Amino acid sequence: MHIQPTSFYLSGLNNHLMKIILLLIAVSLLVALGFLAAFFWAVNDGQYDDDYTPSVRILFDDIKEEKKTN
Amino acid sequence: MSNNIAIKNTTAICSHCGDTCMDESLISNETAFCCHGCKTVYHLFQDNGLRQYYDLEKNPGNSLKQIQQEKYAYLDDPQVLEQLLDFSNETIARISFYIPEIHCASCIWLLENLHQLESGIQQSTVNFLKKEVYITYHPEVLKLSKIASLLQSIGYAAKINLSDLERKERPAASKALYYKLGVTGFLFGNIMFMSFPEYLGIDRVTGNFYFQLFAYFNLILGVPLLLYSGWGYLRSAFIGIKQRQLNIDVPIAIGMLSLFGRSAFEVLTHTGAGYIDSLAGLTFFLLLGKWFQQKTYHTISFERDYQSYFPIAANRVEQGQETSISLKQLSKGDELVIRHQELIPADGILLDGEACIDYSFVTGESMPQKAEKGALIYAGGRQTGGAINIRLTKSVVQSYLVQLWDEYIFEHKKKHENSSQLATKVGKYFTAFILITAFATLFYWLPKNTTTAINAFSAVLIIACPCAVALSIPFTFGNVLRILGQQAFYLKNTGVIERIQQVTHLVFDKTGTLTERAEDILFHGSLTNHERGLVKSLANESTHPRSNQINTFLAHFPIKKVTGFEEQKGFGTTGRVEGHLISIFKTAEGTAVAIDGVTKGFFEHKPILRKGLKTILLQLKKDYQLSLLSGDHDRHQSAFIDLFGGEKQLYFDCSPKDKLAFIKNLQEEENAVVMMIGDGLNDAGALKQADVGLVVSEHNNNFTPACDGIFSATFFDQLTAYLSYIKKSRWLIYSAYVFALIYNVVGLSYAVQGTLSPVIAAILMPLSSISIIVFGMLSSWYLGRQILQDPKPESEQSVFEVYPSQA
Repeated sequence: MHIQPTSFYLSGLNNHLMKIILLLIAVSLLVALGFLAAFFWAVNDGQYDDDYTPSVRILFDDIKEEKKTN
Repeated sequence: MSNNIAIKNTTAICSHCGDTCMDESLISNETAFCCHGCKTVYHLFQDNGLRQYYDLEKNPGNSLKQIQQEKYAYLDDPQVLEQLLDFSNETIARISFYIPEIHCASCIWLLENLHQLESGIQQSTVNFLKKEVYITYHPEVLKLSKIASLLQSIGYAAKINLSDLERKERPAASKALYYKLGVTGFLFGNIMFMSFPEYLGIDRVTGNFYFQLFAYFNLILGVPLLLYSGWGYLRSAFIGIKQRQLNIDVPIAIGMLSLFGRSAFEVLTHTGAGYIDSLAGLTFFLLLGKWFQQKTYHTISFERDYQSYFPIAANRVEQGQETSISLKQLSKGDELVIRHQELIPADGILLDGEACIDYSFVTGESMPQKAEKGALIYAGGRQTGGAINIRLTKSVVQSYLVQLWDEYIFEHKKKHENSSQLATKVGKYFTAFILITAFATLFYWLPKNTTTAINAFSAVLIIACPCAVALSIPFTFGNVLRILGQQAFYLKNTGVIERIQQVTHLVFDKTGTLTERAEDILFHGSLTNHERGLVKSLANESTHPRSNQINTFLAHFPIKKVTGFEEQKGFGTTGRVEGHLISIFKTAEGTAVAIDGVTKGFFEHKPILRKGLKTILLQLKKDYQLSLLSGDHDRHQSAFIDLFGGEKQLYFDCSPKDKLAFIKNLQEEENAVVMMIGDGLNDAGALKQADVGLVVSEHNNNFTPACDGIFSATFFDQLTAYLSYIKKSRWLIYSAYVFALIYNVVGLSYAVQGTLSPVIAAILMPLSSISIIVFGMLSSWYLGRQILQDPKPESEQSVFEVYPSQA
């Protein structure tokens, strides 16, 4: 007996076009791995060694005036 | 520029550092300075485009009044350079300096713009929390000693200690946890993502292919989850079993392995979706707890030894020439010159000069001691007064103090790891409980239905999660650590919290702990400001401890020229300042002052007891036994007899060895759990021997010997509150365990019937974990509000700050 899927949301699952989800999963996994790699790089580079000073540094202005030449 | 001067009443404050200005010659309409040093630096900054320094904070400078002219020549020695520099080649060198005076945004700005002042500096970066600056410079154009001198001249002197020569590698251990958290988070997220279809109703009937896909996907991700993220727990459990010490990681490991094993079985035999999502959640929260539990305070170290106390170099005299030599190169027979406030690096004999040595840190003796020519002077003491010459009788490592120190390290190795005794106890019972329940369930179902039997058996192993137990301590005590840290009460780790909860006996050091390091000085009588200036000028010439105290007391006054200076041993000093005959002399009441033959009053010297000491001791007496151990003489004994409630508990003239022996005796004879509260090197052995060692610190820059906790002297009156908070927090853990019990009962009721599904597990386990975490954090925060005072508005970094300019 052919059992019909009862859930509205799952009714399209046996459609062969759904195979696209495989590609989507693969790509999302790759993107997530990319983020993980970026995280590793950031930790390695020392981003988390100092999490306070950058917040102060960002508010500084550049020195505009010239040095007085003696 | 108008915000640089605030005329408070009629006193001008220094445009650079904010100190009171007493010298009228340095005050003008637009600017005022307290000393020439500040004036020089101010103009230096103006001329080099560093005006912004004064815009970022009000009067941000560090006072240059008490600057010692240090010689940095030893920094150019190639051997020293090799050990100090982070990195060097022909064109680039990088150095890290610890600068205790960093305290505000202006400091950061200035130190990152050093290249404006010195062209050889290419770049500099500040780490505010660590108070370090990393300077990259061109070693062929600029010498390191010049950089150090520059920093000193602008009020940001670098503190370089002997321990800096032993370049310890930056701990990569903390980074390892970040990597683990990153990977676990990644796995957790993706596994949950893949588990949602199953929660929403997909099964083998509706979409077999995808069901299988997601199930296998989860299983594959579960492998690194178990073997990388969970590795620490598996390994710890294995070691525990091997050593027959069941710790809390054993039930955790059982849970993890059951989760994975059952999931693998279900997925591979196509009978279910597995429980990898619960495994991911469990592991992630456990690692989060581990991260939360550790809190590092960068400017504080709980591991300091004498090497952090000693400077890196001393001044050796050879044939009349003075050179600064690194301490490691000093040997017996060398002649050294030691100046005011400098540390004596090794035992030696006094050759020349007026020696007035402050041994308070080393022996606890609060009055500086004078020494005669030919007398022995010990390493660790600090010279106060003029320069002295000594000939070394030992090298630095052979000196008495250092030998003592090595003895402590050798004899008293770290006996307390950061393992929770409470968690270990619970772990044992819990493991027994799980195994009994699991096997009971197995044997119950076996005769009826084999599938259900195995089902139920593994379900019990999965759901009987000690995660509530394993999470409550890291998060609750971790939060307690943080909250205490906001009050400037810093503990090494959560293990210390547990030990404090067991303490029965408190032992106090006296000098520097119950009293402030310096003795107090009160003036009785009347002197005009002008007269104070005269007295100070005379006191400045003398090296006698009493004169030094008077000199410090009258710090703000300018020094005038003294003629006819005469010092009579045992009597006092006299001299002429601006034509007046000034005399300072010893009397029964203290030190009297006479001007032109008329006695104007006297200075009284007494120990300054810590604020609120009496109340604290009264409160503590209710719950603990109290004792006082002091290296000092029993000069002011009467004051302490009342406070401690009897002579029995007071011991004076204790050597460092005596202190250690006393504590050992308490532990062995009376089975007491002892907390030692001290502050100096003379307490080092006692602090290590005690079950908990706490150090009182007056200033963040000060050296603190190896201990379990450090707290600020300004909050000494909060001591009872701190201890009470710590003790009461134990009940929070007990409450969390009750929670855990409820969850386990609910979960087990499903498990023993064999009706545990992945969905139920996936709901129960995160729910229990999160609720325990939230409960732990909220309850410890609430308890803190009830017991502790509001933390000061300043951030944790500056709570320890005592600006040098505020007398």
